[in-house]
Amino acid sequence: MGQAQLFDGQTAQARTVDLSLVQESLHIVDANDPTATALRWQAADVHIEAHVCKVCGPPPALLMVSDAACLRTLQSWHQTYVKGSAGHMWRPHAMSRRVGAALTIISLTCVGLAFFGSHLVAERVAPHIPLRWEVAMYNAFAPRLAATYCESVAQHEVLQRLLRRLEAAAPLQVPVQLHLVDWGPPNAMALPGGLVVIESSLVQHAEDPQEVAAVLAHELAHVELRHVMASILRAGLLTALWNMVLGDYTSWLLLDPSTLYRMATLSFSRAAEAEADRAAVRRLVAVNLPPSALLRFLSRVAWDPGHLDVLTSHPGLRERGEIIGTVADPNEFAQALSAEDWRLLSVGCVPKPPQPSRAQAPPS
Amino acid sequence: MGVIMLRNMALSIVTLGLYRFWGRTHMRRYVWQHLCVGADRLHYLGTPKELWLGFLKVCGAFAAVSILASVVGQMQSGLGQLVLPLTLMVAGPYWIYGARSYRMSRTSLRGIRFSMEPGAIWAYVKSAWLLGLVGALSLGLLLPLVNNRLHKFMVDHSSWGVQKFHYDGDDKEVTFLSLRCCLFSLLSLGIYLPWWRAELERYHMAHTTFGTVQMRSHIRGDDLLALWLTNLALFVLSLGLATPWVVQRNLEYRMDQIELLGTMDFAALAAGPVAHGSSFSDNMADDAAWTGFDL
Repeated sequence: MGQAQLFDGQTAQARTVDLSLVQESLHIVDANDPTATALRWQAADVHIEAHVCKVCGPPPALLMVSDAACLRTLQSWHQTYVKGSAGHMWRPHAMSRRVGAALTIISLTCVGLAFFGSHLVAERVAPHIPLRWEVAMYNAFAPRLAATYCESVAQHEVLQRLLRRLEAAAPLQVPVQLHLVDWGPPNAMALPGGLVVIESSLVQHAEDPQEVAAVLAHELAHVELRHVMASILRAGLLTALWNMVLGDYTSWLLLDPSTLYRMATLSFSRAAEAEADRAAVRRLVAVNLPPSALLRFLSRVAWDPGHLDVLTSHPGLRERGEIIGTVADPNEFAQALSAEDWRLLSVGCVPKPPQPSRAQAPPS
Repeated sequence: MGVIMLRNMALSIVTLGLYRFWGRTHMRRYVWQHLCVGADRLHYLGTPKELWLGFLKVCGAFAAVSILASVVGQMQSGLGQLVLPLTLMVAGPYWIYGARSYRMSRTSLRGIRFSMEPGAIWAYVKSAWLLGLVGALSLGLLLPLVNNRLHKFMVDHSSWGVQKFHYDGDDKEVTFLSLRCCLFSLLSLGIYLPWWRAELERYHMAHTTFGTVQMRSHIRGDDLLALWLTNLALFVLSLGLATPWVVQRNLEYRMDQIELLGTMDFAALAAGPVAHGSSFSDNMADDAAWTGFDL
């Protein structure tokens, strides 16, 4: 068929060899010593790199074939036996496509498992995390946050009365710390360890104490249902998975991992919010307060994402309305706070008196 | 090469990084087979599966170190933060030698594999620690000596088949060369750096032999400066997408400057014992970008 240079892997010396094809085997005979034992390479063991005129046999032996016609014959022979009934072996130049397709399927499966699995694991495990661990988390960051609480002593007592009114329905396992803050737009947040903060702007926007009570009931539901711990677990699991598989190509991603994480957790965040709405409705009804106060407040101050609610952490107003509206308000209900308490609370944060500077003389 | 790198990037993004072992293997095969020694091309024998298994071991190692750091941190606050840096310091030389050993054992020329000496890894680790201590205690003044000794160790324990490489560079000459170049670089506000790099590489090559073959490099500082500046412009203006062309230009220039003088008896060059190295070390060194040859 032709001649080639053989590097047998025993020495670096090249030997001129004669090549012939016998069905699935490539026979290689020393051109200077035809009586020597011929090498036989099976098609399945051969890999051809035609662009560098190389035919690789069992490593590290290889042939350098300078005759173009001989090389073409070898390629045809290889394609015949490698893609035929001799075995289900892929053609070398299609390997990367098949590998890429297989890995894409595997990674999509892993993404699915991670996406749903992390949520299931977080939901199942969170209730079993000891409360003292959550309280320990709270103790770690509470001193720093304490400087931002802005309620007066009187307002703090009003908040405690409101809290006791709501807890009468079902006491919470973790002692709730309730504070006013002035961080930004109307909002309320449940943080680890039973800390609930209400924005000063929220109480200022509320028309009556029932609205504040409704929002607080929603946040208490997050505390009661361990949503905060589940969220922390889910974030930790997803972050660990991203870091594990993304390797050194993170800088090439079109979306950075933190954005991917946020998008991955949005649907579960919306599910947790809907669950908190349902629990809040139950608590409000149990303490004889109107659930509609929550919807009323949200309609006024919350931005409705409409069909874009897939991109938000909370369900849209329509969906929340369907949850909250399923239960009718009680025919008669007592105010969540007395008029005096509401007057005290509704002004929002009380500016702290300025600290006297060193240059000022103390009052006599 | 650009096509391979861009394909690797795209597939790695889609597969969340799982493809990178296949991509890295393809890249190495491409680069190796386009590196010629005379009329002969290098051949890369590594497989993606080896890299993948090495990566799994890396994940396990990182998990173990992280857990250890947490436990130590719980027992003694502040100490946990030292675990990872200490691990890197202690295990770094091991990974560097292991990575080089792996890549050399997966490289063949004329059917004969390259190799690092089996069993020398711990001697290298010990040398690296001691020399590193010397470098630290000298406040960096003896770093050229440290680097020269480690370079000598690596070269002297490398072989192609049964024939070893040999490096006879003198510590004093290298130290003087480095201090002189460092002074010029400081006085020129760094502009002299390419000339420093070129002179050091010429020195290394001129003192490296392979049997009866003497190696030479004709690399020049002005060529390096032009290369670096154009590469920087390419890289920045393309937002990093021109990386494959930058890598190719660097490789092409450096390899084209190497000359081999003398003759070699290929018939006497037999296959030798091969230390197969560890894809674990290859992955660790790559992740830490220690090899200086990120393929």
